[in-house]
Amino acid sequence: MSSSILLITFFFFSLVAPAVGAPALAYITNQGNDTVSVVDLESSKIIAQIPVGTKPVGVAVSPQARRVFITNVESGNVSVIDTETNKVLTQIPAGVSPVGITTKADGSTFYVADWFSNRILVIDAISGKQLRAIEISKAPAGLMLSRDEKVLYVANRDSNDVAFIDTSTGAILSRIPVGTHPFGIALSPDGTRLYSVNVWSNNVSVIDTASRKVVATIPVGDHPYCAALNADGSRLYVSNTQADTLSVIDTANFRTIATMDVGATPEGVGYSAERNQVYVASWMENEVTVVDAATNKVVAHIPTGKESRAFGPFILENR
Amino acid sequence: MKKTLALLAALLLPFAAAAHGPTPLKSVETVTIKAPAAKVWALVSDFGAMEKWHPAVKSTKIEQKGGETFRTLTLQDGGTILERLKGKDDADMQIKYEIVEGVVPVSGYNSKITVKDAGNGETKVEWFGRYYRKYVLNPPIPAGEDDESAKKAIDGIYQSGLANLKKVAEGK
Repeated sequence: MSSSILLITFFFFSLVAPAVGAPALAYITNQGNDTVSVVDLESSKIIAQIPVGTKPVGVAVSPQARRVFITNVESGNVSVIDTETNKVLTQIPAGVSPVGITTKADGSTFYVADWFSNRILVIDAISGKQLRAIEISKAPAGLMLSRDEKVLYVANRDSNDVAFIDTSTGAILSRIPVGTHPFGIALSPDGTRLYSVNVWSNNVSVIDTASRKVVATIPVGDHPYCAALNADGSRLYVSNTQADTLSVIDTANFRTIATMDVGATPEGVGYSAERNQVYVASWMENEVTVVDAATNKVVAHIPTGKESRAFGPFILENR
Repeated sequence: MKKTLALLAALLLPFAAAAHGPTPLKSVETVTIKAPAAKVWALVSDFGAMEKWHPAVKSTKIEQKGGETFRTLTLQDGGTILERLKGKDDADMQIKYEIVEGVVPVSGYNSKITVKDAGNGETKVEWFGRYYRKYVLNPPIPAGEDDESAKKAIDGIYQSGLANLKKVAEGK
């Protein structure tokens, strides 16, 4: 009896969850042709070119909801992509010039950094309704949620700080001064450290999320933009847009252990735990550069679309 | 009224200098030259003598400040552009620089020129630019300071420059 239930359960599960074990995908925004390239990371092939809004930049993924959210900075909206069909389901109005975006793990609510209006917009992903608008410092850019989703982290590019926002009240808990012009941010897998990539000061500020203090500053290359961490948080990868390189940093001692040439003007950085590879969107070369995280060597160049940006964690895996 | 405006302008200035919009612009132009790569690279890499190959440049003044190299380009119409050398690699034949200030309607401009031996005595030169429009505050955008004006200016500089570089290097 119990074995037949198990068998039935297994059979049923395999029917309703066809995507389990599906290959990891990268969702790359192409500013120059208003599309998102979907890259199958197993075959290194583009499996879809999805038309979105105008000048797409930011990416947030929810494997749980099977949704990807894209900010379109010039059309002032968010394209919601169904990852089963790789088609846009709807476009939701999102302020004047949405750049950074992050989503709750369940895909129910997303947060948008509205660059020109200096606000964070909280939007219900199902109804498309704006739940809240939070006044913040100048030119908000990178966004991340704490692992328990109680705190939203915001890099404010033109006021040189990272703000901590209480997601239940919308109150600003803290403003932490960092380097000059913070843009991208990355959070360690255990949630204890937040890395702010500072474009003008050519460094990364390491924030202890508990004490809300900068505990280290790591020098990187020219005009760094974005960062990502590997699965255990021991390596930090930083794109240096004007050096055309990727810095690899050991987070135990904050030393740079490798710097490699990648596609010119590298912007977004993503890490796939399934493949132990780093993916870098190259704005100038219109490609994704693939780096093997075990050897720190470039292993592939995948053409995407014009002016690839991919701002935010853009890898969809554990599907 | 005038005083208030001047004060307002002064207050806005530091912000204007720091900020820019969220969408960068791109210019890429390429030319193939029937001349050895070394000869082309010698022209392109001479940061203090752009007038030797760019027809819009009348003269170049080079200066060292705090261990860094700057040049002031004086254009045929008298306008000037101050640029900073970011790096020069003779092995890879590539040079990087940025605009500090000048008459071109752009902000946050940085550029790279690469020279490659294309075989058969030919050389491929590529000129890359990433920049923002001149007007860096919230829309509405004043005429002449928009994306189109910025792109048109840079595309024009690249196209006329590379066409003339070809002429000079080919000795025509």
